[in-house]
Amino acid sequence: MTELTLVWVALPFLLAFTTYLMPALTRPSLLGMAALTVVYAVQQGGLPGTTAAPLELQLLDHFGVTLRIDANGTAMLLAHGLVRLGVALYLDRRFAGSRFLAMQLLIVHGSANAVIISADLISVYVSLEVLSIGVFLLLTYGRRAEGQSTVEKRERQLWVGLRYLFMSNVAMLFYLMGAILVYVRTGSLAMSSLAMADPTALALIAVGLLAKGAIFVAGLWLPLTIMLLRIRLSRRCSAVLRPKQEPWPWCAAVRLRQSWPRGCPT
Amino acid sequence: MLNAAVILTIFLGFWGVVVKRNLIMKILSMDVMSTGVIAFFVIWAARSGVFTPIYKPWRELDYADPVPQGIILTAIVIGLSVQALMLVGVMKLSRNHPTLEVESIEQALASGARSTFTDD
Repeated sequence: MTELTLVWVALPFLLAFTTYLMPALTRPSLLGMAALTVVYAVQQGGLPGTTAAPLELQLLDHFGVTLRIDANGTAMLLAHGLVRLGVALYLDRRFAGSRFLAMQLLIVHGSANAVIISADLISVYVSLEVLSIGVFLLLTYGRRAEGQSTVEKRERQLWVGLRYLFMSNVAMLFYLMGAILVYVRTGSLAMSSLAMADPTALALIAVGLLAKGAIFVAGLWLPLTIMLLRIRLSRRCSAVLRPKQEPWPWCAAVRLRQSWPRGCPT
Repeated sequence: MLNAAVILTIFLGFWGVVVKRNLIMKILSMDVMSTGVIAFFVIWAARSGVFTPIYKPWRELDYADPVPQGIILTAIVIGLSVQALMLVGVMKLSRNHPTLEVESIEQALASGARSTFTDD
C-alpha cells in the first residue's frame, strides 16, 4: 500500500514532464491519472459509508514529510479526482493542440493531491505554493493557443493572475510565521501539534489559509478572478483554487455538475 | 531587541504591500516581508544557542536548532521563484502600462471589461 501511495503521489509530476518528451502520452496520462486518483480514493474508503484504516507515512526521518490518508482526506480526494476526470474528458480534444495546458493540469493535479494528504505544516505550505504557481500559469495561459486573444484580454488575464499570485504569496507568509510559532511551542511540525499551539500561531495560520482560500476577506481576489477571466477553464479551476478549505468536499463535485452543460470552453 | 527589529521588518513589508501603488514597489515590499519572515525563522532557531549545528562529540556548545533553518531554505527558494514569475508578468504588463500604477492598470482594464462580459 505504501508503494502504491508513493507512486500515486509522484506520478503526476513525472507524467507532466514525460508528456513534453512523448506527446503521444498526453491524453492517456491525463485521463489515466484522474482515473487513478478516483480508484485510489475509492479503494481507501472515499465513498460515504465505507471505512478503511487511515494510512500514515513518515518519509525521511523525524522532521521529514508526513502523509496521512484518512476518511476526510479520501472524500476530498474522490471529489478532486472526479473533477479532474471531468476536466480531462471535457478538454479532451484540446490536449493535442496544447500540451502546455495538459502539463499544467497534471502539475496542479499532483500538488492538489499533495495538499490534501500531507499531514505536516511545511508539506502543506510547499504543495500550496506549487499549486498556486500552476494555477497562475493556467490563469494566464488562456486563449493564447487559439490565437483569438486581443492584447487587452491577454493583459487582463495577466493582471488577474498576478493579483492571485501576489495575494496568495502574502497570505502564505502569514502561514509560515504561524508554522514556526507552532514549532517553537510544540517542537513538532505535525498537524496534530496544532492542538497544543498558541492562539497567536493558530490565528496566523488561519489568516493565511483563509485569505488564500478566499473565505475570510471575502472578495479579496476570488470574484474578479472568476468573473473577469472569461476562460471557461476557470470554472474547473475554482475547485482547485481553494482545495484544503473547501467546507464540504462534495461542493467540488456539485460545482463540476453545475458547470458541465455550458458548452465548450472558448 | 533583535526580535522587535524582525517583527518591524515584517510589518514594514506588509505596510508596503498594502499602501504602495506601484507594482514594482509592491513586489519589493513583498520581498522585504519575506526577508522578515526568514529572519523570524532564524531568530527562533537561535533561541537555544548560536553555534552552527554541526555536532562534534568533543564540543559542548549551545547549538542553534537546525530544523527551522532547514525548513526556511525551501521557503526562500519558493519565494524567489514566485517573485521571478511575477516580475516576468510585470515586464509584460509594462509594455502597455509603463507607469505600472495599480489604479491606472485597473481602470484601463475595467473600461474594456464590459465588452468581455458581452462578447460571448
